[in-house]
Amino acid sequence: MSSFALGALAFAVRSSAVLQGQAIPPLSTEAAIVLGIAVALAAVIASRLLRR
Amino acid sequence: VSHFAARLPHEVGTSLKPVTSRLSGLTTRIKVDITAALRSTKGTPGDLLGLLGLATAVGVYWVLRYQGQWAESDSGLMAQAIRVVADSTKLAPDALGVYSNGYGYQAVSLAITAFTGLRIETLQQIVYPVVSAILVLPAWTLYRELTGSRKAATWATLLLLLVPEHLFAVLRASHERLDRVFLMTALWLLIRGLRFRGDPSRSAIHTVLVLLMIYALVATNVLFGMSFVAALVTALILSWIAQRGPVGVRAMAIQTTSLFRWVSAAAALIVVAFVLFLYAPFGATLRLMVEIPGKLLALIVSGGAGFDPYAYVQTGWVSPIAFLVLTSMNIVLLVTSALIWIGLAFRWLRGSRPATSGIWILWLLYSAFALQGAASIASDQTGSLSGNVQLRAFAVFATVAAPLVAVVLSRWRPRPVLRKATSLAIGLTIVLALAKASLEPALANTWLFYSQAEIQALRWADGQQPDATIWVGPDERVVAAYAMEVGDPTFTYRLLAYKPPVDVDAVLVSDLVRLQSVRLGIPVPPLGSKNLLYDNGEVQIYR
Repeated sequence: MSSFALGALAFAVRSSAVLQGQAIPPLSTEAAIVLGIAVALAAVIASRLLRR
Repeated sequence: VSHFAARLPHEVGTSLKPVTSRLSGLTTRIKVDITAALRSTKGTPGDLLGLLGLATAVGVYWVLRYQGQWAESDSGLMAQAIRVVADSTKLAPDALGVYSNGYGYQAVSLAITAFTGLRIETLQQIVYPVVSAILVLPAWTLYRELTGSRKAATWATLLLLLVPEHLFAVLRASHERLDRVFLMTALWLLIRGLRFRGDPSRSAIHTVLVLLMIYALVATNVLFGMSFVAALVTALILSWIAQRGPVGVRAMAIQTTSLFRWVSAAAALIVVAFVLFLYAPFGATLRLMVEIPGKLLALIVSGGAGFDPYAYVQTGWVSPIAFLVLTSMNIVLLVTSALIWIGLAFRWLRGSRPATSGIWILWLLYSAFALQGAASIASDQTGSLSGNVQLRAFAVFATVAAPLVAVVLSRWRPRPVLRKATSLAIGLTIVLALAKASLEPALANTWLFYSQAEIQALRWADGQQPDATIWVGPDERVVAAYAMEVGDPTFTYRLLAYKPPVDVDAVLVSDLVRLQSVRLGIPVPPLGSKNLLYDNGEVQIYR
């Protein structure tokens, strides 16, 4: 589910940058992967805490 | 209890002996329970590794988002300040570009560059944002001391990492990451010291370390040092009042009055000594600060509109709704922590006791930093100190608001469905926080990134057009980038931004400048009567 959300975000940012005349640096794949890791880690930490 | 019983007349003391003995046993058991809870490390490595991993991912994202080519005004200013200290070989040089509010950040940065051989801009743009992850350690340690719970400490640190203002403060290349380390460590040592009141040597060590941390905070940034002293004094006043207040808090209020009395006096002395005798460059900031009450009074008396600190919400973002969505975590934290603060106050007014002295101290510190937030709203109306004191105050306020919310959150055990939904929501909140903190250009009109072509054009102008004032864009983006990468203060002052003057000598134009001009509604100056002096394919300079 979070992968879908992340994919949607990357698509939105990249599309937005393209629409704005390509002057703005789009979200790179590396940055999107690291963002995905951050999302997953935050969700896992929260889940562990809520279960404890 | 035993001490009290020994002072009673013999007959009374003997008759009370069973009671005092039981009370003594009870207090010993409570002491042992709390100490055992704090010393226990069960689950700690997993919690800390998770938080460190998250903070590192956040820092790496910050660097990768613009491939390390980012700058903002304070980060550029600090890069210059480090170079000024390096060039002059003095911590407080009488030179253009000196940082007027302290030398700590420059000293630490120069030490790192000397030991590692890193360039200043590499340290500022790539290393520091990732290294900032270490801030998780003092945060978690302080929160465990305040809440008495590892789970609440982990919650509090996680919540802090979701606050965009906190992320912006500690990820950008400014002194604030060091300020937080010293602030959190000073508070942790101060509160931890309470546990060693019967042990003179350990107590003395804690006292010395607290004073050392406060000096480090003041030397890094006097304004944050002053804010800390003001918070300690406010906590002292509240404690003093509480001694005469509800029965449940009186005993703890007596304890904290004594604690905040000596520490606020010592911290105030450190600030005065630093400002008056140790760091002369602070004089410039001091003069600005002295003017604030007068300006505020003039605003109140004249009824004028004054400076509008909220104007950037309209101009700085594609829409106010985008801004509201991205700052939603700030709002959630502010509202929930305020409700919890009020709830605790009501409970104690009805006669309940604070669960621990840590919670009582947290409540006092929250009150103190909230009061500063309210004062900063008034200060920002004068436009003094860049008119952004609210933003800076909120980032500090978040460090005490997060544990207050965490104390309640740590007791919540939702059903599986709700647990999954909450975890997902928290995961996605980090996306919003990072988009806000890194000024995601799809949503923000003021940007952090720049291109090497822009720097290349300015380097050319540095050599070929040394007498020209150059308009470089509708905001300080390129000025900050130049300060970060090149950093000659005499040249930076010839770079003009915002609304261009009619008689500007030269104009730098790029696709980014044109796009940002449209976004911010500040047109590029007319180029019809100017000659094209320079063109590197991406950037042109007209004069």
